[in-house]
Amino acid sequence: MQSLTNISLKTIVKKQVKWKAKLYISALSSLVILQIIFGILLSSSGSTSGYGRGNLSVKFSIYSLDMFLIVSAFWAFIVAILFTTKAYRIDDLSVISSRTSSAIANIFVMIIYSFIAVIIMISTFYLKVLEILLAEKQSFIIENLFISPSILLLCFSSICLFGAIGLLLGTSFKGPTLIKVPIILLLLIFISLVSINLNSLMMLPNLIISVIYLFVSVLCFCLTIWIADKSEVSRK
Amino acid sequence: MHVHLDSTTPIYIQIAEWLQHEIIADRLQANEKVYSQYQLAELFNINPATAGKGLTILLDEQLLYKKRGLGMFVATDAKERILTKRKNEILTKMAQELVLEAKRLLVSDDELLVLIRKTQEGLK
Amino acid sequence: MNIIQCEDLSKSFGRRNALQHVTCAIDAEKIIGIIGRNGAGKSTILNIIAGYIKPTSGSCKVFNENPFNNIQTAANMIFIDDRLSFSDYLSLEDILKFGADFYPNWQSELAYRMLDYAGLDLTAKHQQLSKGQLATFNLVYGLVSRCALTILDEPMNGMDEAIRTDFYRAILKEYLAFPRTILITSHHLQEMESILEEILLIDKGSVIAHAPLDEFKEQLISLSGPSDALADLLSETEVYAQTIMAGMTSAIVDTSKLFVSEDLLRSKGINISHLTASEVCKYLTSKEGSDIDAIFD
Repeated sequence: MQSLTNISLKTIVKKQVKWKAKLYISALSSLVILQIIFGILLSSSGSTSGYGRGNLSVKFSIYSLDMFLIVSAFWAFIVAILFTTKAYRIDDLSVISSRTSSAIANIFVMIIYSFIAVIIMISTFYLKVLEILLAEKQSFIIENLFISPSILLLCFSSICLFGAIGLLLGTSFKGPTLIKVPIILLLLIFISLVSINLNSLMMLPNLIISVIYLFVSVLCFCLTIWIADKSEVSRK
Repeated sequence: MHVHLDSTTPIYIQIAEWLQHEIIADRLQANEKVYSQYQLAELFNINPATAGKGLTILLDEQLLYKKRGLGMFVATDAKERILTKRKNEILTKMAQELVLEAKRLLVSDDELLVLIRKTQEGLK
Repeated sequence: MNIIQCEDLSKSFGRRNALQHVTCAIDAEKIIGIIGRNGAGKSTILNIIAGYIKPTSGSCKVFNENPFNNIQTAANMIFIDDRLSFSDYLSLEDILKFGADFYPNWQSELAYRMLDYAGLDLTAKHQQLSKGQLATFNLVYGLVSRCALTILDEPMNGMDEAIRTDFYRAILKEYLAFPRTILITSHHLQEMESILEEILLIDKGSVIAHAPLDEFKEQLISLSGPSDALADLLSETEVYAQTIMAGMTSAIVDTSKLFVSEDLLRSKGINISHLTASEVCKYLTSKEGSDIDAIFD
């Protein structure tokens, strides 16, 4: 009798993360392209307003991180959904994997990608600022050029949150009916609650918002693993 | 080596027959080591368990003997025993056919025996 | 040691019962042919063994564990079929490298030699391969991973005949070099029967035969001779098929229910002939009185 191979879930997840990170590299390049497109759009329109009195004319152009963050978060959501589609799921079956190990690996890849997304976002933002510095001859005011760690954390947690919701949604769709209906309902309620209270949420300090976002992300991740653990393989 | 296996006779019987044939033809000599089930499996492109069954038949008929840890060897009298067995089998079969044919031709038992004696005398 | 143990296993998809009360055990290190018509339940049982789907009732143990979503059983098993898929970002060579990373018994050298023999280009993408090349690559992937349980579901689909013969031999040689349990399904039983040790015949969601190949073949026998000589005999045994033409009858009967010696049969002018494994499968699984001739009457 040949001895059986003993492999821990941790080893398999590590190997899967390695293989997925390499495979899904296209997802990252799509983010760079998205950011560049938005950068160009922003430079032509931006949020510009101007007024003049006598021979003095003042033009306000506000460039902020917000737009880049929205793009990144949206991208994270789409990529997460993509990870749970058939094409990606059945690729996992070709190597040692279980639904649980695949879900955990997807979560790790999502977290890593959120980090990279923050870096891409910040660098595109600085590139934009640099472009304005070089292009515009008029004087300008720079406020908040230094991005504080709390803002970075906020960016990371928001991207992560959207990715987590995407993963949970995608996994639920393929899960057992008994689980998927309540989960999807719960998500819808959560999203509507957040959008109603968005204003009061925005008044909170960045750090608290980040913590809330991260907490919800972890919750989504756990639910994702739990559902994956109960799911059958669907190759349809 | 290419040996065509037919698909209706059980493969292990064909293997046993092939080995007996090798012994008669002196390609496997007395007290010589015979092929292992794995060698036979490769040779004939068959499952080793099936090859093992073929060897077991010869072992049961004591045409082969086992040496612990060394494998199976051809019994000293294997060749004669196979030849005797074949002779008997062929003769029995021919006698059977003779009796059956006599029946079909409505030849009585006595008539048949007389015929056999006559044939024997004629050949002397 | 049993590597697979199914007890009263059933699986239904909605109202359709794909498997019904299957009980079977599969020993370690055997090559087993899983035979059945389309829709008989072969894929369902393989999917349960692979841990892809959950049984509706009953239990299935692989390596003494429940295989469903189990990383331990997954690590010792590989499931090859035509739906095996790899990202289109990977070349065949990349895939082999990943395989080596995942499977501890992986045989890199052998993989390269086999693909070279089959004339596959290592820089090609998996999705660009033709149907036959795809099957070849998948089979090589399954063999060189040397998993204790190797499931090959229609591995030769789309391959041309010459390469099929080669690869049945490759399966046998790999098995001899590294014995493991191989479950293999195929529509071409005749081609692969010589390398099989046992046959598991599935029909309408049930296992109707599980035996060593030779015993399986000897289950049924074909008798032919004058109708009047056969009539009595056939009334006492189970008849699977029968044709009567010009006073001559030929019938397929159950050997275990035939209590007459071969010599006696011959003396009545009845001819005995053995069947091939695929003929036995055909008769065991054909519906009562199912005969293509009947629809033309």
